[in-house]
Amino acid sequence: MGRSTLANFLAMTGDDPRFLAEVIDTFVSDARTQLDTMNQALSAGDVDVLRRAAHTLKSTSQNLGAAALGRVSAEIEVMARSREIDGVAQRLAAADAQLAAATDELLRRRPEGVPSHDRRRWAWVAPRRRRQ
Amino acid sequence: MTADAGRGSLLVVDDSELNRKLLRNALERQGHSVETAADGVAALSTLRERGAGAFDVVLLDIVMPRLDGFGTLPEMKADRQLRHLPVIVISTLDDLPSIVRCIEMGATDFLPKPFNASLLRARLHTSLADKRLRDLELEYLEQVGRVVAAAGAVEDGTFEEAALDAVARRGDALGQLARTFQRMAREVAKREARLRRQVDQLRIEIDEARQARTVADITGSEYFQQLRDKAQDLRRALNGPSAGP
Repeated sequence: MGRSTLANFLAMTGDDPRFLAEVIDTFVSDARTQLDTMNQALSAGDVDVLRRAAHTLKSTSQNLGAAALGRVSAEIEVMARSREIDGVAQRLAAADAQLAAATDELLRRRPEGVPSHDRRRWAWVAPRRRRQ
Repeated sequence: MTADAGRGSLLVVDDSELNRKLLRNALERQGHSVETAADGVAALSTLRERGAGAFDVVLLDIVMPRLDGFGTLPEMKADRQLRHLPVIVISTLDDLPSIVRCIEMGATDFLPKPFNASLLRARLHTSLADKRLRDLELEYLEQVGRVVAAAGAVEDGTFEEAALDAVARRGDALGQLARTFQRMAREVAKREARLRRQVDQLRIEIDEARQARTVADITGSEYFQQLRDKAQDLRRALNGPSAGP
């Protein structure tokens, strides 16, 4: 993750551990939702939904300093906009691996002892934490 | 709308829950009050429900489901109540054509993603200052309209001094004009009341003079003299020969 972007992100959270934990949990579960949406949109050939989900994942990844995930999402967005989707499947696979890496890193930075504000999110996040 | 020039009431429109949380948190820590909407449809609904006066600035994402930034901006510009509300477009710098298109559609500024707290503060400060200036201009025009309407009301005889109270509290030339207007209207009203009292007094005097004349006419008539003579004769007859004339 980019140091300066991450520093900027931490500044945006105001060094509030509870809020930082909430933001990380939100990112981890929402990024997974966006990636699922992109996979489904590719299967259905719906390039508009693919473009929007890629745009959202690009934007949130950049905000949290997950630069590699942001880059591959930006590539998928450009491909969907130009309706040239050959090669999107490979990029989605790459995005999946980068999301896993970003999630691992973010969960390492997640403040200890702060429970999730949303149990549904924690259901996804907690097993990954236990694996670390 | 808040009175403090540095703080405002903001509507953040973004389909990403994470972006909404980040912006809300950063903006609230800068002293603003924040509401959020997940797309253009929800934003327009909130703006119309709460009224344009409830917000100072809208921060609008471009790419959103249901109604995106390109669809939301024209709707706002076509709405008389919403068209003057400043809109800051939120976008990544790699989408410059979309930013340009939004500014051509009436957006006042843009905020790049990833968000930066200092830039956010600076951009908002400028937009809020513009909004305050615009509010003052609109208030001035509205109060000029009140003075013009008051002039018409004086002509029609329906002027009420309280209608200019808010304008008269201003410390500028328009306030001076309103106070002068109120004073002149008060003097005209006093003069009218005085004249009315004088007219009423004259009417009483005329009525009394008319009554006196009528009495004199009656008592000076030959018929009245005859009746008085008959009454004296009758009185004498009743009192006997000892009665005087």
